[in-house]
Amino acid sequence: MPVIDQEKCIGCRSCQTICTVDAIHFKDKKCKIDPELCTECYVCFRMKICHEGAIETQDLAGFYKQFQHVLSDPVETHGVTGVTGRGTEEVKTNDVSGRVKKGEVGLSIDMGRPGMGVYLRDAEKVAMACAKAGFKLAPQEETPLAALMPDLNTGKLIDECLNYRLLSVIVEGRCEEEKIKDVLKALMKVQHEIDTVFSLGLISRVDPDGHCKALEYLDELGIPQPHRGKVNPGLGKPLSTA
Amino acid sequence: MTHSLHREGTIDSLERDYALFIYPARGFNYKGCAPKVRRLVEIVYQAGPVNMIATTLRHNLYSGVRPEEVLDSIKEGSRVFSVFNNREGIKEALKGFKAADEGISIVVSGLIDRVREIALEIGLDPHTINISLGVHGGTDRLPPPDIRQFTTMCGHGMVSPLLVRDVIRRINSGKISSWDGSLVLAKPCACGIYNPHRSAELLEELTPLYTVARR
Repeated sequence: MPVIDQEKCIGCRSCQTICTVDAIHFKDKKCKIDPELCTECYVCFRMKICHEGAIETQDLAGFYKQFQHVLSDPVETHGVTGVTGRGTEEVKTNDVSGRVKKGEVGLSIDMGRPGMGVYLRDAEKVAMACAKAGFKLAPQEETPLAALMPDLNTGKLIDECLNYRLLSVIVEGRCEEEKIKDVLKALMKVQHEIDTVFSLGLISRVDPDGHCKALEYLDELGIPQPHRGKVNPGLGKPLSTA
Repeated sequence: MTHSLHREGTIDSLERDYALFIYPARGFNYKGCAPKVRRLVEIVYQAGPVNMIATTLRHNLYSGVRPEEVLDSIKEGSRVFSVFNNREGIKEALKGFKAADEGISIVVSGLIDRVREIALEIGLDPHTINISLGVHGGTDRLPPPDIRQFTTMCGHGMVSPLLVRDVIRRINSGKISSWDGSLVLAKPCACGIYNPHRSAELLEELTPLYTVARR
């Protein structure tokens, strides 16, 4: 984890400006990283922001600390999925992977984004609410959070990880189109029970006439109609027709 | 790169912001993909992106990487991310990809209607879409929307709100220009999709409205 060498720190506070989650505090004319708030994103270290070379890294002790770092630092690669960033390909390769099929709807629930960070206990609340509403959470071959989830049917995480704070983590999975309204409803309820935010992405195979049934429910659920999207134009091969 | 989906700003500003991803799929077309990805990156270059990164590098074009280094760094499984500040550029790249037919997954992130329009013009049938349904939860604790226009331009949230405020302060005090301020903000972005042109435009608009004291 990153630490500031108190002997070298001259209290210029440059490091404070680059911290993504405001975890560097200034006290007694020195800067210190709050280990409770730090998400291990390493941007302070990677950017060499300290001209005095006072920011150093220490070994990450244990699996959960390493998990926290790998998920928070976008240049790290996740060991199981082999993907950088948050360790998931999600919809980006759906034209060949066929993860989300016709008649299904996927969700990419980006916990802690933008810029707030997330304790895994809040990710658990969201995963459990979705699972209870009939959402099938993605397995660990597809998404890193599942490695902490012994039972995908409940979304419950391993207790030991709950108090770790990440810059963000994605709760993802899919369900039949008919169930998406219940899942969205559960999300709109659980949003009031978490101490962070989530950015919500809805994944769907493209209907030739541009229709997506899930969009019909948005007004009723108080979700704004979308204007931004990530489009996979189907150039991958072999093309999944599922 | 999920967060490229949730870039914030006015529709007018987002008209000049399209992220593009070249993405081999593990277990499907990963093996032997390097020459194909390299060919696609050459097409991207020709279309004139305003930022770029390869996952084999830790820095983007504004944090010390030369375009040829991106190309040289590509190996099996490398993914390449870029951003364009105009519709024609992204259309050019997609046209080139279609003609090259390398079979690697491509994703375009932008205003849905614009991307669909472009796909239609080129004769592409979109396969899958990921739609942004906004931010939920304790949104009252987020920085204000005008600051989020900058922070959400890095797909992984590496541009901090405090850095945005610091850059605005430096521009206001005459220490740097809007363009140089924009480059300061582009540096921490580890996904290569921070759009410095859009960011400079936003800084031009925003700095006169802000008085930002150093805390």
